[in-house]
Amino acid sequence: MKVVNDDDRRLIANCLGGQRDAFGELVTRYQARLYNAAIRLVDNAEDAADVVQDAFLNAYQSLHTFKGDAEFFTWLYRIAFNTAISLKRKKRATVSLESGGVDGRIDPDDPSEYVKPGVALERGEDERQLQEAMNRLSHEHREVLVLKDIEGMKYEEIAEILGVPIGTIRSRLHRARLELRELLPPE
Amino acid sequence: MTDELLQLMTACIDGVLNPAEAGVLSQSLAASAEARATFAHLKANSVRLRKSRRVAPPAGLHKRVMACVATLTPAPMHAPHLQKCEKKAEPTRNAPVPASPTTRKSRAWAPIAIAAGLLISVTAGSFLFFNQQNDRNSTARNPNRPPPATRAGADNPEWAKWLPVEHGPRPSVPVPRERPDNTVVVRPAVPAVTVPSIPVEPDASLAVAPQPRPVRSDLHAAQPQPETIFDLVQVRLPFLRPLSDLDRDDTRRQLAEELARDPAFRIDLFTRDPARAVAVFRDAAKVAGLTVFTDATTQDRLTKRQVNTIAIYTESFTAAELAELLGKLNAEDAKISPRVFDALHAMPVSNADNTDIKAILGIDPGLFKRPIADKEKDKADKTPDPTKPISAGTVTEVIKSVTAGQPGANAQPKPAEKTAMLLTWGPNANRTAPNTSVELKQFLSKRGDRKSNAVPAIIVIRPGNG
Repeated sequence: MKVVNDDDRRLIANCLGGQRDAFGELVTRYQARLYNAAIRLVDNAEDAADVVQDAFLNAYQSLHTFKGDAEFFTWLYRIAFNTAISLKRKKRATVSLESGGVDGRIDPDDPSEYVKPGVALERGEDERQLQEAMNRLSHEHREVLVLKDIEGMKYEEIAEILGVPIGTIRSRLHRARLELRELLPPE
Repeated sequence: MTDELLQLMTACIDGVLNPAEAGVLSQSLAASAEARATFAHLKANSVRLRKSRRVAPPAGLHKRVMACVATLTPAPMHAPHLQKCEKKAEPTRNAPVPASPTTRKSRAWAPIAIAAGLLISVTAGSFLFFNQQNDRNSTARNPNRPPPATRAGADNPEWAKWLPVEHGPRPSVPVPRERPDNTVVVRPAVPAVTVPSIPVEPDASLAVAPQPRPVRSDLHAAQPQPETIFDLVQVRLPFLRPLSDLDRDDTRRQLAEELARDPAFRIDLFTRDPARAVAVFRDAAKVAGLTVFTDATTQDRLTKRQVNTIAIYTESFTAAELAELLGKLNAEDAKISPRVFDALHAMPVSNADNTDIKAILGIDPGLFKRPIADKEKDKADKTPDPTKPISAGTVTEVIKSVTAGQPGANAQPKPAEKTAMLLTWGPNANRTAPNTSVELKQFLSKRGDRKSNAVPAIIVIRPGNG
């Protein structure tokens, strides 16, 4: 497992020394990646933004407990995933494809340039289909597929984030792929 | 399509196949169009996920986060491990528990601290104030106490009655004067008598006391230790899994690796029904080619539910073979509904276990001794003994050459029989005396030399709360 890189280590040390800007730098570095993963888990942009925000705040408050024996992003990811689970439990969201509650489109309410109709959020039918299928997976299966295929992580990193043995990751991925095969027609 | 083939496919997509597995997969794909179609579908889904559009965060997210961070209490400053730690360490399994949303608000320590400080100062002030009041009023309340000292000193008329009255020249003999009751009489100090010091010579016959031993801090008197920061802490945990997990190859492999780490192991198998569990174990032993000698008294008591913990001792298996035996046990257990066994717990044999096994076998099986490796033993056998005459082996060699070519002459020796002994482990009072068990004697007679790579195991079948 990699240890935290020097840049991150320097920023973390500066942040602990009282420089909030250093933490801002960390947010800039990792917010996109974290958001991209969070939105696959919680199905809508508002919740994903909440997850990312909460994850960074929790990380800020627990920064002194970060041991530096793993990549900072792995640690941050773990907090984000736990936050996403807590948010889902709190909201007890019911996903209903019939009612079109979550149709795979990601249109956050935030009136920023990002969500201007037809600008950045043009999604083909292919993407929509993929996201719909992902939404129908169980949370466990969705997590491992996001981390493995979308984030490109190895078994060991995924096991570290989710806090389960590597064998469990392997079997979850196996079942997740089989389940996705049932939900997605061949191209 | 079998589940094994599907697992190979998904493992291939994950990039974790070894060459042997890759070969098996290639052959299966070459042989089956359905397999090829399934593999292509799985792979295509993975590629779609990898190529899926990355979603950018909202533009104001960074600002939102930093605005919330600004309201938080800054993180503690001290983190020397981030400066010092240069080497890799074990990854932590447990992430820090994220703080709940309510603690994001700044804690109201300051008002509480201020209130506490005010309370203490008011209390102290009142104490001092009333204490002084008591002193000033003490003469009114207690006429027998002298008044507080003042600058006027002896001119203070109140002090007059406390001071001695002058009556002209002092008499040669002190005359008792009238004094008020309870007056404190101060006599002139008697000049100290100087006693010349007597030089004391050390008595050579007296033993000199040794230097006091260094004080060892105990729990109560220990000084606070400086903060210790560990770079790496390795903890060995027992192997604890449900027996049902042994249907997986990786779990059996992990168990075999664990069992190879120490000279001898105790394996606890938890069950709700020890008698039935023993029966299932015997079935598994039969499948594994293990001969189990069962003490008759133990069997009888087991049937009558007079014993609840059974030990099966064997030293015939290597670590991998033990794992396979337990895998077969799981397979037999899976045939029954509900299953008889719960969890499996494996730990190296402790001294207490060694004492117990010696007590029930009546011998010391040498659990912590590693036998000489077989190759070394053969080498030792082949090394000529210089004290023996050259002709000592001649007759043997002649017989060998004569019988060479005859049927059975060069036959390989039979593999050693795998044996185990089943006895009562608990309660201690119901253990069978070793010298009274016929089955134990049979087991010990067949025991022979232990293989160098064998792992002696005490398999304890016991109730969950036992």
